[in-house]
This record gives sequence, C-alpha cells and structure tokens, in this order.
Amino acid sequence: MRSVSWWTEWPDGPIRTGVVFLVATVVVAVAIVYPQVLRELGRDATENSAQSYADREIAGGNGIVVDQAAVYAARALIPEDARYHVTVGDDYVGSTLTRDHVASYFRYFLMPRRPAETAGWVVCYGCDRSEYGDRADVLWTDGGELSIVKVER
Amino acid sequence: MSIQAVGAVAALNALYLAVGASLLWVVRSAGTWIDVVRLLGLAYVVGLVLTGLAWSFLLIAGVPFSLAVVLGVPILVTAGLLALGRARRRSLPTGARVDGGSSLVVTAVGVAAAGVLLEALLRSARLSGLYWFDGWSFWIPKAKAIYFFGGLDEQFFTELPGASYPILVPALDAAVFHVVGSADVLALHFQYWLFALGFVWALAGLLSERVPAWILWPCVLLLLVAPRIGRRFQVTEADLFLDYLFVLAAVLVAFWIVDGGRWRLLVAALLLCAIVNTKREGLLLATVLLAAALIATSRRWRARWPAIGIVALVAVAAAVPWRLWYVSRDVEGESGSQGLIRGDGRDLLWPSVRRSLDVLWDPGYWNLIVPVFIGALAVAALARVGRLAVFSGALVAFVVAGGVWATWNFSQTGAGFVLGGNFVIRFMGAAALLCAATAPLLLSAAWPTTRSEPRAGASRRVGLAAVIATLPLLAYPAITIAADGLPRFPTRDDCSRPARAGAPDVEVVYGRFDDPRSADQLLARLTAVGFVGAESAFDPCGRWKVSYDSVASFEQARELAEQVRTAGFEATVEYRS
Repeated sequence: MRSVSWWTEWPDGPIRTGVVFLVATVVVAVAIVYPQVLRELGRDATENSAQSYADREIAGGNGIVVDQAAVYAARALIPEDARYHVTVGDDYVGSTLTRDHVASYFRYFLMPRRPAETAGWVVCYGCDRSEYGDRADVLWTDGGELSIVKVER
Repeated sequence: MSIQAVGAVAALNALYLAVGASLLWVVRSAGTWIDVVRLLGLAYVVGLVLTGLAWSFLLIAGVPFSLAVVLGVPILVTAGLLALGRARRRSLPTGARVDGGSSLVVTAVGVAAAGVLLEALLRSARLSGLYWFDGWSFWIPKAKAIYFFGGLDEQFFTELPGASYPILVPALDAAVFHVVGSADVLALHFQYWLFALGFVWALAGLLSERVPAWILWPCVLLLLVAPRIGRRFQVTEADLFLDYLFVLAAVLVAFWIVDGGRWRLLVAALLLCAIVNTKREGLLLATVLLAAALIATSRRWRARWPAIGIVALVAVAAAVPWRLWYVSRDVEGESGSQGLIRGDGRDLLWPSVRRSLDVLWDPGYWNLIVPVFIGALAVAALARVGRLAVFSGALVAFVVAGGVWATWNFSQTGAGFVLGGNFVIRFMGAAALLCAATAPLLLSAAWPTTRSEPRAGASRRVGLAAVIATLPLLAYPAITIAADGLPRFPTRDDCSRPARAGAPDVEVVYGRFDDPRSADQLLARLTAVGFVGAESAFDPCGRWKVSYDSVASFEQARELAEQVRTAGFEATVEYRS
C-alpha cells in the first residue's frame, strides 16, 4: 500500500495521480461501453445473417435502384463485353437518390460491362422509349417506369 | 463468401505476413521469439504495404495483374529478403522468456477483451453488404477494373469519381478477387477485418515495448469501442486503412526520436510510401508527420534532420509514379478545381475551425479518446517528458490544422459536408486514432517508474495468463455457435428449400433462372402443354422463379411435380417463399 505522500508529493505525486486518474477514467469508460458494443455487434450479426441474398448483394443500392429485379435483369441480359447506358427521364418521378446515383450504382454492379453514352443497351428509368422508335426492343420491364431496352445503332 | 474464399484470403494474408516477417528479420536484430510474436502485427502490416506497393508500381508500369503476379510478387519478395538476411548473417530468434507477474495477467485480460471484441466484429462484418457510398462508387469499381481488365483500365480509372486517388487499396482488393476467383465483394469484409486485426496487433505490440500493460490495454480497448473506429473496421474504403498506416508510422518515428533505432525509421519510411499511395490526404499526413519529427528533433538537428530528409525524399519518390500516370491522362489533380487556397470564403474559416474541433471532441465519434489524450499531454508536460510530448502534441495539432484547412478549402459551407459523405469526420479519424495511440505512450513516459522486476511466483502466472487469454477467445465463438448454429455461407441456392413430406405451405417450383427471358420461355412451354396457372416471379436470391403455388397439400404438390416431370420438365416441391 502506498503512502498518501507517494500520491501527493511534488513533483512525482501529482503526476502519478494524474496518470492513474486518466487510466481509471479509460477503464470505467470501456467497462460501461464494452458490453453494449458486444450486444450491438451481436444484433448486427443477426440482422446481416437474416438478410436475403439479393438484399445483401445489392446492399447500398437498395435505396437507389427502386427494384432489385432491374439490376439482376440487366446483369443477365447485357453481355459482359457489351456497353450500356443508364438513362433517367426528365419526367421520372422517383427519388433524387435514384436520379443522382442510379447510373453510378449500375456501373459498380454491372462490371465488367462498360458504360457508354451511345451504347446499344439502355437501362431506362422513366425515359421516353418512343424516342428510340422501331429500333428499340424492350427485353425487360417492371411493368412501370423501369425497363431494359436493346437499341439497334 | 464461401468457406473456400475465407481460406484463400487467409492464405493471401499469410503471404503478406511472410513478406513482412522477412523484412523485419533483415532490418532489425532477431531478438527473442517473444519479440517475434509481439511484432507479428507490424510484420503483417509491413508485408501488406510492401506487397501492395510492388503491385501498384507494376500496375502503373503496365504489367498485367494476374493471379501469377498476385502470388509471385510476395513469394519472390520473401525469397529475396530471406536471401538478403542470410547474406547479412542474420541469426534466428532465440529464447522465449516471458516476464511473469501481474503485468502478464493484465496483458492476458487485455488480449482476451480485445480478442473477443475483434471476434464479435468479424461475426458482424462477415455477412454485411457493401453499404458505403465511396465503396461502391469508386473504391470497389477500381478494384473490379483491375481484376476484370488486368490493369489500370483507361476508361474506369479516368471516369470514376476520385480518379486521382492512388491505387494501393484497389490493388489489395483486386488481389483478394484473384485468390477468391471472382469479384466477391463480401470476401473483402474478411480482408478488411484482417487489416484491422493486423493494425491492433501492430500497435499493441509496438507500444508494449515502452508502455506497461495496465496503461496500454485500457487504451487499446478504448480505441476498439470508439464508434467511428472499431465499428468501421469492415468498411471497404481507404480512410481507416490510411489512418492505420499513419498512426503506426507516427509511433515508429516517435520511438526513433527517443532511441534512434534505425530500423524504426526504415519501416516508417516504407509506411510513408504507402500513405502517399493510399489517398490524397496521405500527402498531407506524411508532410505533417515529418514536420512534427523535425520540430521534435530540432535540438539535435545535425544528427536527425538528414535522416528525416532522406525519408521525405523516399516518400516523394514513391508518390511520383501514380501522379505521373494520372497527370498524363488529364485527370483533375488532387487539390481539385479550386486549388490549395481558395480565394474567397474568409467568412468560412471560423466555421471550419469550429466544425473540425467539434468533430474531434465529439464522444459520439471517438468516445473519450481526445479528452484522455489532452490529459495525457498535460501530465506529460508536467513530467517534462520532452521530445515525445512535443512530437505527439505537434503532430495532433498539425493534423487538426490540416482538417481545418481541408474543411475550409473543399467544402461549400465550412461545415465539411460534401456530396456523398462528410470528409471532416473521416479526416479527423487520423487525429483521433493518433490520440489513442500516443496517449498511452505519454502516460507511460510520464509515470515515474514503469518497470518492475518479476517477482517470485511469476512462473505460475504464465499458466494463469494463458488461461485468461485463451478461454474467452474460445468461449465467445462456442457461445455464439450454441445460440445461432454454425456460421452460414449463403449462396444463391439458399432460396431453394425442398419441402419434407407433409409440410404445409408448399409450392411446385419448375425452375430458377438468372435471365428473365428463360423463365418466360419455360412458362410458355408449360402453358402450351396444359400446365396452366404457373407464374414467373423474382425471388430474394436474385433469380426468376417459375412456380405454381395453388396446391392444397404436400401430397397434391408431389403429384403435380410427378406429372410435370413425366411431361419432360423439372419440378420440385419446396417450401413456399
């Protein structure tokens, strides 16, 4: 057992007290948070494990692509060596998140397929398909605003 | 991510470890086997960055990035280093004496607590999806581009966001894709967890040389439970990876300032080379690290500054190839379109200062790391610790100043927000991690006596320490397996769940297809021969399922399946999904 002077006598005493105080603070902070972090990680693990394959694979795109089927259909329909273009129509009524980032997400998901402005494959979010005329062949649609179109160039 | 993918990633990381262990064997004296174990984390990180840098330079030189290169580079580097070690007559480590006593028991408790947390982090991260904007926006696409096209594809590497960001991390990610055999993004979570494990081991191993266990392990645990550090270990972006390298380089330089060990500076130089090839912020972090070293060694500048100058030159040389590559392809520079100093926006300077300091102080991000560091700095100043305190204080101040500058220069509001994320929080991660690493160093330097002789009975405590360290590490996975079963490795076939006899809620599944047209064709053929009522629907595994679910019982479903099979189709009775 240390004497009181060991903790108080200048100059080493206050330094020892300061060090022990700080380490004790850290120990208390860790002791409070540690079980909570462990519980949260367990909960995260359970949630991640319970996800469907598609939810997990699309992950960050779930709030962007509107319909998971659209990205899977694009991956199945567009050949790996083909080029594609994601276009969002001016009148598209979906979220800003979709409008701003859907092309970027498709680029990530569809690699090694390359994006190109004049590509023959078009992933269409509320675009005007009539502008492609007879050259367009709709190969997939969600029944609404989303479609995958093959255009003869 | 399959069990084979886990094995492949583990094997790749074993190669990193072999490279790093060989390098440390060459640059420092062998020491004891305990030293080897203590520095195993540093060896891993060093091997990782040396291999990653070699791959990066080969990519920039246009060498196709294949599996042969992925495996050949670390194997050749290891062989070369081992040959160099033999030529330099390096001896093998000897002895494995452990200083027993209460310090060892505290170490065991710390290892167990940190280990269980890391296990929990792995369990959580393993089946996580890729949610992080920058991850899917450009970090992983760059890695995929290297993997699919065998190099720095001109289109992707000039058009992707962050095109000027260096390629060390994408190269490491692409190596994972190669050993796994596909662009399996989920496998990266395991890889990034290994990065974190290596960093924590490296930091604790390095600090344990000077910091007593009772100071060290609480600080390591504080780092692990900090929301913006430990909880982000699985994030497949380069921010935290950069911070790992920066902090380890800072600790090595701090030790070099104190003891002049040349190997430390050599390893720090290698880490700095990796830092400037990880992110554009790396240039800033490397600069402030060397500036802080200059200040801390100013009283012995004749002896120390030339060495710091050489390290700076090496780091600059390592930074040049990537910069030449992107400049030659007209990619916008790392300072952005506004340059390094914005002409307008004086009114944003104070909001930037406030924002940066608010972020750094926020316990919601870093728990108590920053207050503890400030306390440690004060205690160290009181104890006249000197160079270590000057170096740590100056470095943290410089990093914060860098954060203020970046916030002021790159954001529109002085608040550090930009599209797709909040960079000031990410940048301040380097300062917070630095605080977590240097606080125990300062506290131990301030503590009047830090070493005690092992007492009698210490040998018994070695056994006790071994039990304390290993029991929780074995118990945690055992408990989770008992509660949740063995780890799952999900596949796209998970949605197919054949029903047992007598099961309720069943359906007859005629097929699952990646291509919706194939599903429609099957549906048409089934309808043509009289099996009407089936439908094609997208299933949770990302396939189109052709099925018929209007069956009242398992028996009815089985009869229908037999009829369909007789007609030349496939059919299985499955649980309805």
